[in-house]
Amino acid sequence: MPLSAIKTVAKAQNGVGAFILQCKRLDFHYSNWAGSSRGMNAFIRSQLPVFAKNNPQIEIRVSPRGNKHPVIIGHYINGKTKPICVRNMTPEGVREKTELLRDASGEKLKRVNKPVTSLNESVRGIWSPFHGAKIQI
Amino acid sequence: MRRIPRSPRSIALLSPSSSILRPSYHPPATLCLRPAPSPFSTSPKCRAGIMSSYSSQRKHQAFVRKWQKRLLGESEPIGAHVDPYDATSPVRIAPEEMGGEEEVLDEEQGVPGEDGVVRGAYVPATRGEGLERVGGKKWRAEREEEEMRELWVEVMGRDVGEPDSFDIPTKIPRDPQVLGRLFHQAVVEVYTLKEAKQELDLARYARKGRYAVPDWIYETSVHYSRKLGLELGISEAQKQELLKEIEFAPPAEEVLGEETLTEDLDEELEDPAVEQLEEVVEEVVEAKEEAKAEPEKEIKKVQKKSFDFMANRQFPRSMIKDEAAPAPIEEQVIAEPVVIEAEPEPVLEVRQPAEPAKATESEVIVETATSQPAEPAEAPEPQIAIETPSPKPKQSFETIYSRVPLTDPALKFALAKRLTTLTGHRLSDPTLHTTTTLGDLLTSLLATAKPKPATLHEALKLQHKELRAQPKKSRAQLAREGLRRKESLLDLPNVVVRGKKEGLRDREREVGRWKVVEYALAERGLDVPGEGRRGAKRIH
Repeated sequence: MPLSAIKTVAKAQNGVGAFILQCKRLDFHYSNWAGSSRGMNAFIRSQLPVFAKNNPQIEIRVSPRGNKHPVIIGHYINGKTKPICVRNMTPEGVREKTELLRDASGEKLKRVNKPVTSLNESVRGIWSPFHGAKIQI
Repeated sequence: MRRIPRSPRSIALLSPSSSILRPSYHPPATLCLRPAPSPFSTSPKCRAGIMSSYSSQRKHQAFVRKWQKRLLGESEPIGAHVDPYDATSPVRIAPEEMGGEEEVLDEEQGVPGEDGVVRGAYVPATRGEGLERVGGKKWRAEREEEEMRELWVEVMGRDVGEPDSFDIPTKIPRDPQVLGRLFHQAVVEVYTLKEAKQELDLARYARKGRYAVPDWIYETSVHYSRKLGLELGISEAQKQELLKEIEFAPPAEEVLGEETLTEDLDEELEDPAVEQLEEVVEEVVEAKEEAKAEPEKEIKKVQKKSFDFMANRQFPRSMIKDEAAPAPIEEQVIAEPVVIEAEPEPVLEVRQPAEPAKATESEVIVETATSQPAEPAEAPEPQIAIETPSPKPKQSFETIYSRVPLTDPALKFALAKRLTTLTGHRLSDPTLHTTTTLGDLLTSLLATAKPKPATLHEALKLQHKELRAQPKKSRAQLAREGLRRKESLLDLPNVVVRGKKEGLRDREREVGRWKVVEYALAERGLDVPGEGRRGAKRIH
């Protein structure tokens, strides 16, 4: 049986070769009556057309949801959703939350304790007591 | 009882103690046995009786008959010698039997119908059921209440339960042309008052600005110059007529009409409610009389009063009476020609006057906003004649009034208040602060009057419609102007805008599963759920 080496394939990293935006859809729910939706309504009228034009890869839905606070729901490729309530926010605040949802992935938020997060193994190897300078007594 | 002749001598009672209790004509018991003198007492007390002055009935009758003849004439009255209680007495002759005219009221007479049968005639009632009850405290109170209510309606111009509209019209116009005409009316009224150096606020006059507006107001030309300001193209007669209409105050006698008060018996006038009304009316009369001498003081007085319903009269009594007779159209009302000084500068554009009948009016010069450069300092003052805003597009209103500055706060406020009264649209304070010309004021009014969309969905559709109506410019042109192309949300391919809350039906329909759901439900004999609360069950 001839032995053949495992062909190494380049590890795919989103953004190295191609970049696929994780956010596939954004739902904007507003209210015609509630005062907490004033900023959202102003954002939809004035800034959302510009945002939608600049992000043609995101599907945007706008629909009313009466007697509720305004909310933006982001849908991601991994199937998860992230809602953010934007009650009593200014149009600029709503825009910031929109961009935050656009830049996020569907993964849950985790606390990062390490300074570096990398898929590459360590260059100098993990320390062991058996490798290193000899102990002289 | 036989008549006993009266004795001329005074006879005292023989037994004073017993005769005190008995009547004087009965002789005392102790005196029955012997003929006693007349038992009658002719003391002055008894002599004063009526019948005591005549000796016989005959003499009395003669005396009465003598005076009857003197007073009534020779004919003997019917009831002179007859018994009125006798059934056959001639006094009991009925008027219809006598042959005299019988008074019949019109209400009692019936109206003959087409078939000849008389209907509606008065039929005397035999029972009291169903008849109107007249009289009594309750009836009187109801009648007074009704009269007071009628007085209120006549004075205030509205019913008792109706809320006060505060001079704001119920039908609020939104058509720009109608608003333009009302704006022009307000300008003419306020500037006329300004020229006459009168109070600018029309609501401070007795009529509160409610009068029959003459038609020539809407066709009045306006003339603006930097030195003289805005001048109206109306004659002195028209000006006086307008001032008279605006400042008209009904005299006190007309305010207190006799027919407004109850003209019943004296007992009704003594009623405390009516007396209170009269006191209030007297106070108003005094206020009005003082107002005639000093109009400014009248305003302060009226404001201090807690309730003065007689002052808010919509129309004076004379106007109500003259409603039936229309005012004759006078040819002198036509505006006299407005003389505009000759201009040495070239005429850029000439427009035809609004009414060709006014051919005596001098030429009207209108400068276009874009083509007219800045005037040099040494050139004479340009007099821009502005045309009347008759049915013209919106652009011409702004062009006409944009040159007239509006710096006087009192004038601006008077105009804004009059516009609120005429149109029902209230201009906000920040809007008023930012307006500097009449054109700005008109633009603000039109913007305020523009109907606003009730929902965001309607606003987006309106925005989409407006953007589509705009002429398309190339990117290069937009870049030169420093603008970016405005995109409508509804035009973008990655945007879906819904006017209603998204439901299961919408989501399933997008992926094409709804028809499968409907088919499956129909297969099992189940109702297809409707949208909203209709249908068997709401599916989320």
